Amino acid sequence: MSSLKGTFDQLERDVLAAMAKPKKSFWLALAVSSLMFAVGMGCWGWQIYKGLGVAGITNPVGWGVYITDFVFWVGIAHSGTLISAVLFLFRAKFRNSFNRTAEAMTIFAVMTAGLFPLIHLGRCWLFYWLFPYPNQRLLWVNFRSPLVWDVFAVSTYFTVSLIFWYVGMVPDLAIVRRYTTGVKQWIFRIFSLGWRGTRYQWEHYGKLYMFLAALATPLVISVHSVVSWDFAMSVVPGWHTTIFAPYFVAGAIFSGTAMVITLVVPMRRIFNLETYITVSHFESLAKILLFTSMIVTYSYIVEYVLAFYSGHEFEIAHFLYRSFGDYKYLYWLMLLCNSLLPLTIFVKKLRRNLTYLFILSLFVNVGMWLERFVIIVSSLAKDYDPYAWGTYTPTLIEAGITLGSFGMFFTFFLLFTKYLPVLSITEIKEISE
Amino acid sequence: MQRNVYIFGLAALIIALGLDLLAGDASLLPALLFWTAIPQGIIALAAAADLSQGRWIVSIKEKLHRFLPLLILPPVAFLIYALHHTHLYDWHEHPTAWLEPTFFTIRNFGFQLLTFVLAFLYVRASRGESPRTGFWAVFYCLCFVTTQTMQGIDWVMSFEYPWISTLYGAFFFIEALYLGVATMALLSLLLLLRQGRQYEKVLRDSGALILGFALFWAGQLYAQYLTIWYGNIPDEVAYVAKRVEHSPWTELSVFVVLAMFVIPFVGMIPRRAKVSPALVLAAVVLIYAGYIVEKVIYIAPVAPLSPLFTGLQFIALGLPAAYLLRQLIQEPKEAKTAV
Repeated sequence: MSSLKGTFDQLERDVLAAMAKPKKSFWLALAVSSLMFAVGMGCWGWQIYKGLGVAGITNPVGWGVYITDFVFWVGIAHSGTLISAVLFLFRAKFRNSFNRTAEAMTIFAVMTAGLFPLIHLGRCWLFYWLFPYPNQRLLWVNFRSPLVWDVFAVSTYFTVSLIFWYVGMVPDLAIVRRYTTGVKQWIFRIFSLGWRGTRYQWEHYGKLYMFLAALATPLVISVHSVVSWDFAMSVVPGWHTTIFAPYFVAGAIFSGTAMVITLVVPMRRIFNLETYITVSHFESLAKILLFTSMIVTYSYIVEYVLAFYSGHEFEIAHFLYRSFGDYKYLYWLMLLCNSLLPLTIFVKKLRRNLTYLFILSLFVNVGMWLERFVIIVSSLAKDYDPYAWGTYTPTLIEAGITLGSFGMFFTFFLLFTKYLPVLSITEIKEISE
Repeated sequence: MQRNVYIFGLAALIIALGLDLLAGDASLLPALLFWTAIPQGIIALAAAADLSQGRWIVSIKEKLHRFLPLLILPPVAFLIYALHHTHLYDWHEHPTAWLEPTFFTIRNFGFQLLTFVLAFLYVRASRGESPRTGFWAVFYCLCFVTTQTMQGIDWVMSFEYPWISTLYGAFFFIEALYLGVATMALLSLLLLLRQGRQYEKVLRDSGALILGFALFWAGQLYAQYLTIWYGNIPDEVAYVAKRVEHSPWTELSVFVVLAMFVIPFVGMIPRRAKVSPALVLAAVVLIYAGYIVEKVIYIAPVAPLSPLFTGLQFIALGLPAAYLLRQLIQEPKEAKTAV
C-alpha cells in the first residue's frame, strides 16, 4: 500500500514537473510560435485594411486556402475528442497517455478553425449575420445552407469538447491545488470546484464523464459530416458524392492522430514522461493511424473507380484533371503522404520507432492539408462550363495567415503545457491500481 | 460436427439450385446477400478483435470462428445465381468494360473464394495462437471490405446502371458487420440461457455494440440520402423516389428504419436491456428482418422477385447456419474442434 502511495506521489511530481519554471527551449519554442502567430495576425490586419483582393481567391475559385485551413483545423479538432471519447467507451487503457493532450488539441484547433470563416468573409465584422437573430428588416439566415449548419455544429462541438476536457481535468486540478501556493492555489481552488475525491464525488463524476463521452462521440461524427456537406450538398463534380461524410470523419481522425503524435513525441521527451507514455502506447496510436489511412484510401479508390464505372463525363473529366491537371503534383504528393507512406507502419519495427512515427506524422499533416486543398480547388477550377474555367494560386497573405494559424495553435498548446497537467494523473493512477 | 455443416451446406445448395430453376427470377439474391453477410461479418468481427487485442470477445471468439464453414456457401451459391441471372441486369445487353457477364461472374466468384481462403488462414492462425494471426486478420479484413463492396456495387447497384452512390459499397460492409454483431448477440444470448452467466458480459457488450452500430448505420443512411435529396439531380433522385414514394415501398422503407435503427437503438439504451433475453432477441430479429426487407426494396422495383421463392431461398440457405447454431449452443463447455 505504501509503495503504491510512493508511486502515486512520484507520478504527481513527474507530471507536475512539466508545469515548473520553463527551460530555455520552451521560451525559444514559444517565441517562434508567437512570431508565426504575429505574422498571421499582421497578414489578416493587412487583408482587412486592403480588402479581400489581397488573397488569391477569385472567380471561379472562390474557396481557396482559407477554407482549406478551416477544414484542416476542424479535422484536427474533431479527432481529439473522438480519440479520447471513443477510446474511453472502448475501455482502451492506452488513451490515458494521450487523452489530455488530444482534448487540449481539440479546443485549440476549434479556436483556430473558427477564425477562418471570419477571415474568409473579408468584412469579418459582419460575422454575426450568420446567427439567426430578430432584426428590423426581418432578415433570417438560410437554414438550408450547410454553411449555417456549420455555425451551429462547430459551436455546439466546441462547447461539448470544452466541458468534456474540463470535467476530465477537475480531479487533476485538485491535485495541482495541493502543490501550489498563493494566487495560483487560489485559482486552482476555484477551478477544481471543491473536489475532495470522496466516494460520492467519484460516483457522480464517473457517470457524468461516461455521459459526456457517449454524447461527444456521435456529436463529433455528425459535426464533421456537416463540414463535408459544405461540399457534398452542391452539384459540383468531385464534391457531390455520398461517401464524403464518413470519408471526412475518417480523414479527421487520421489527421488528428497524426497531430497527436506530432505533439506528444517531443512533449514526452522534453518533460521526461517516458515512464507514462510508452512506446507501446505510440504503437497503438500508429495502428489507429494505419487503420484510418486505409479508410481514407478506400474512399479515394471508390470515388475514382465509380466515376469511371458510371461513365459520367463530367466526373471522369474531373478525376482526370485532379490527377493530371494543374494540381497534379499536389494530388500525387497527397497520395504519397496519406496512402502510401502510412503503409510502412505495417512493419512493427517502424511503428515502434518514435523518430520515424514523428516524421511520418508530419507527412500525414501535410498530406491531409493537401487533400483538402486538392478537393476544394480542383473542383472549382474546372467546373462544367469551359468558359468559366480558371486556376488559383495562393498569395503570400494567404500563406502568412496559414502560418499564423499554426503559430496560434502551437502557442496555445505550449501555454497549456505550462499551466495545466499534460497527463491525466488520476486516470493513470486508476490503471496502476 | 464440422462435416455435418458441410453436408447441410451441400443440401442447401442443391435445394437453392432447384428453387432457382423453378423461380427463374432474382429471388436467390436477397438470401444470398443475407447468408453471405452473416458469416463474413462474424469472422471480420473476430479478426478486428484480434487486431485490436479486444479482450471482451475472448469468451466467445472460438465459437465465432466456427462460422468459417458457412463461408464456402457464398461462392457456390453466387455461381448458381450468376450463371442463371445476369440477363436480369440492363447492362447484359450493352456490356461495358467492367459490367460484362463473364468478367462479372469470374471476379465476384474469385473474391468470394478468396474471402473463404483468407478466413480459413486467419482462423487457423488465431486458433493456434500463431504470431501470423494479425497478418492474416489484416488480409481477411481487406478482402472482406472489397468483397462486400463488390456485392453492393456489382450485385445490387448495377441493376440501376449508370446510377451510382459512392457510399453504397461501404454501406454493405457496415451492414455485414452489423449483422455479425447481431448474430454474436444471438449466440451469446442462447449460450447464456443454456450454459450460464459466463456469457453475460459478452451479451452486454454485444448489446452495446448493437446500440453503436444502429446509430452508425443510421448515420450512413442519412449521409447517403441527404446528399441525394439535397442535390436533387433528377437521374439521382429517381432511384430514391422509386423506393420511397409508392406503396408498399414507402411502408417497407419506414419499417427498415424502425427495424435497423429506431427500435434497436432505443431498446438497447437502458443498461438492463442489454442482458434482457426478450429485448436482445427482439433487436436481433428486427435487424435481420430490416436487412432482408432493405435488400428487397433495392431489388424488387427493378428485377422480378417472387415473395414465395425469396422466402424459401432464405430457409434453404439458412439450413447450415441453423444447424451450426444448434450445435454451438448444445455442445459441452470448452469443446474444441479442428478447422
